[in-house]
Amino acid sequence: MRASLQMTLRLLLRAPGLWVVSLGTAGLMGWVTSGSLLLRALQMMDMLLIPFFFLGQLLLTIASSQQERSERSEELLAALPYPLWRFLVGRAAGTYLAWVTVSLLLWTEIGLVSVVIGHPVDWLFLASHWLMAAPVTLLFTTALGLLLGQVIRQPLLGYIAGALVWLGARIGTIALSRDGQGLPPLFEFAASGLYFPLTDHGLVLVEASLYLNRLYVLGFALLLGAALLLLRSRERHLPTRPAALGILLAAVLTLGSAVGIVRPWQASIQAAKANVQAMPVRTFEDLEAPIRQVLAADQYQLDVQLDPESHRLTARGSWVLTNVTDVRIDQPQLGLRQTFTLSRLTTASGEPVAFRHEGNLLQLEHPLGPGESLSLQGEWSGTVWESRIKDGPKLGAHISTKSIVLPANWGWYPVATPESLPYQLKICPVGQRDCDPSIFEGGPVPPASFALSVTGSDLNLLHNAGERANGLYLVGTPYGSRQVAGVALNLSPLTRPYADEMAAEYAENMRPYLTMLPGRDDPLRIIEVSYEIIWNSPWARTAPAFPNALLLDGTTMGYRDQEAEVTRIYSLVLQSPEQWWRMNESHQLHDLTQGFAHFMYRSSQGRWYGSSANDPVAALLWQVEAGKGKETAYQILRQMYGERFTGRLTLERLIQVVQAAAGDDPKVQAALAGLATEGPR
Amino acid sequence: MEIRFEGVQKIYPGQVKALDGIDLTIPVGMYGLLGPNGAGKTTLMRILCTLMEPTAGKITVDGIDRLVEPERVRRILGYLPQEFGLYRRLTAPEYLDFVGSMKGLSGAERRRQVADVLERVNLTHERRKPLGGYSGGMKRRLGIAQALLGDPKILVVDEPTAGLDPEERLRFRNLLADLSTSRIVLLSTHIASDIEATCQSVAVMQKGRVRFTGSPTALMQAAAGQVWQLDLPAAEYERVRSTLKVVSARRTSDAVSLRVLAPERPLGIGESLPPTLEDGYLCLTGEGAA
Repeated sequence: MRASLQMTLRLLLRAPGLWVVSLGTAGLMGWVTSGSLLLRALQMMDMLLIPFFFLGQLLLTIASSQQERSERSEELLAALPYPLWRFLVGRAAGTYLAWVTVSLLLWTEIGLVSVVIGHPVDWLFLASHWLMAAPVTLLFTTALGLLLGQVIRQPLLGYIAGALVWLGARIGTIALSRDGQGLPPLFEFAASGLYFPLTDHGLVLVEASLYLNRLYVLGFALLLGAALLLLRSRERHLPTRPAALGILLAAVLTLGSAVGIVRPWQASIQAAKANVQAMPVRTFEDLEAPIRQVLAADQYQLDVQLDPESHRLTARGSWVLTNVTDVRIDQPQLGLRQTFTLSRLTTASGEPVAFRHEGNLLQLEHPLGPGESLSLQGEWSGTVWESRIKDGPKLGAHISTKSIVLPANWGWYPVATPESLPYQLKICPVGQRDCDPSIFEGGPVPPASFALSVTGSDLNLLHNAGERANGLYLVGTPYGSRQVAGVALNLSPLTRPYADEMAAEYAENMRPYLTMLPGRDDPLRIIEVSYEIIWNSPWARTAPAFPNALLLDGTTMGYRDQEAEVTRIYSLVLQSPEQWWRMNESHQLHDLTQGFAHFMYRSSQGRWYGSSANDPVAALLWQVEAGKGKETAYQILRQMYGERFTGRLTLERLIQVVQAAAGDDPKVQAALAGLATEGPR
Repeated sequence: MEIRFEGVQKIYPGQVKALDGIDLTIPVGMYGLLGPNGAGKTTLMRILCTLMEPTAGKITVDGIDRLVEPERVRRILGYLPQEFGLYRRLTAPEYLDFVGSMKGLSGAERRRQVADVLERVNLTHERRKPLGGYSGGMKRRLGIAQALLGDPKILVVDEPTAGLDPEERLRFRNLLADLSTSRIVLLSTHIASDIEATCQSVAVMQKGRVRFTGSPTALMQAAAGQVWQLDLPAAEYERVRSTLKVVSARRTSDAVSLRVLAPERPLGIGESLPPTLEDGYLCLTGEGAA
């Protein structure tokens, strides 16, 4: 066996396939990790790289097996005094060892990157994957590849068959899955890798059943291997009884271990059906009634420590929970994303409150009578891993390279969600969508009182009450507020390259204006945010998130994802003073700041924008520049810019400043007189 | 030491009778198995090499019952099939080392034998070259080299010279002749000259049966007095060719020089020639252009 194993390893190491797949996988991993997006790398490793790796291995094994068969490479070995099974096992073991080594190296690379970057890693989970899940799945793909290579003569057909088995199994797994009921046992062998980096521990298995019974996959692999032995024994007119016995044993192992998957699966379905059966009839009526508020959470006082570099959030604080119904609720339930670990929960007096935190559900073991309130204090922390972005109001947090964006309804603090009373009263059936607390339909109820102090990052706190995605948004970046001159929103990860390009172009366009206004050392940074998060964005309606920052209208930019529209976005920004000056509460202010923008355009571009030569504010400043020089005109502009938050950004103040700086110039005087008489526009 | 076939039959599915009661004894030395394509030579060899089971009959190899103890037979047997492939990315020493391991050779002895057989088949200078770059002759020689590992008592070679150029063919024949001094070399071919040049004994097979066993000289004698040379005008040749069993025909501008098999002087004008092995073979099997 050693001989054929050694020979197989030699062949594999000298063939390009192993290296192509390995380097391709590593390259893909490098690509997705660029920008330190380890989170994405981990996810992509699961979603993209592992299927790529396994499928690549499968197809190459089919190819080499087919080639050896067509070239009769084993003809010379047929009459050697060497048992066929040892030869086959050696060949399979060699193929397997080469690929499993590469697999382990790739996962080690992932682990090391995690360590270097400082992300918490669940080593036990990773070890279980290295030592059990990936090796067993590879055993399956190796046996399948060798068998298909032997029975299918045409290479193309072999590839198609391999891809169909692999992809078909994965698609079948998804198709046959039941929401909330676990995976069906069929095709389970091909579902390896379906897990997501969601928890504080870095990696968590979503479909827990995948790893519960690797014997099932092992059984499949042995079944295929025994079938291969049977086939080859028949070809060589050797006794087939041992192979047949192998098939039998493998089938027993497969079916026997499948029971371990089928039974819990069936049990969960039965339990769901039983729950439905046991429901009182009236609860259906309740379920059909509009969902109303059951619990109110308010008077939040939170201290949050953010570390945008490592995407960590640590929070402590207090809030008040009130039962707003007329019935007693034995186990009040809040929403807190499973990403976070709640380490402490007490009443205001320090008395511990028992709780269960499973999934996104935080269940308190503390009854609340009708109208009763409970003051709570708690501490929780977690790493905010990149999450799948969902459509509509069911929002998810998305992490960019250097930022944290947390919509309130994502559950970054304990929230009272508008869940139905039947659910709170525990008479909801399992799997009923309206009763699933993990689905924060409609988002949390906006608290009337919410005080927050944040350390560790620049902060932006916004309130978007009344909209579909209501609640509190928390944005953390590692930049100082003066560093941040721009925030571009509405950019999904897929449009990241476009965003970078746009930022560069935008910075170039803004360069001439930077000398005119202060605080623009760093013209624009892109904070990557998926547009779903800021659907009905609150940004444009609130006070400036970053003093001295140019805050673009996220919604506007989000819908301009065609390159051709970029110029139009610039135009919007440059033409619209409110985008630059962000002060447009009145018509007069709008006209005034628009005049400033028109002047800035004239000064930097050497020509008027459209008919803006008729803009009296712009014309006044242009006369200042013509008579007294650019620096004088720019100084006036900077002074006016400084008045933005003083309430003195007015026409009168402008006239006053211009008089002081350039009142002795006759042409400026004439322009001032016209402006005083006619107004800004 | 000898190989003995007794009443060996092989019937393929569909009642295709590939071997029909083969009785044959093969002694030490080079033994030729001659016959047209489809005669059953390869089937017989594959049965001997344990790659196929006979439908009936008995085979003993150096006293070992082939049907009862195939593994023991494999240990004393080296086999070079008619068609085979090699692992393209290995070198000759690596490949032979692998085969040596499968034959149970260990460590230093395996390395010694690998170097030895490479030398014997004259591939030492090509030892660093990947097998994918070998010519047809080199591949055949490597095939013999792997068969020789373990110093087998029996060497079975199936159509070894097919597709080789004359020089390689000559070299291969000499190699086989050298190897036959101390072992049984069973050479299967449909090319009579291969047998004539190397074998002490020969068996002629046709349609699954043994038609002749004996020395090449005896096979030649089967055609004694039946080989004639005729020189005919081209037009005359075209007229009578269907009545003649022609072994060879050489055309000139307006005449044809023929080598013909016939029990009596053909057309009353032929000149008697000494027979060759090919004549004997054709005379026996009834093959040849008629």
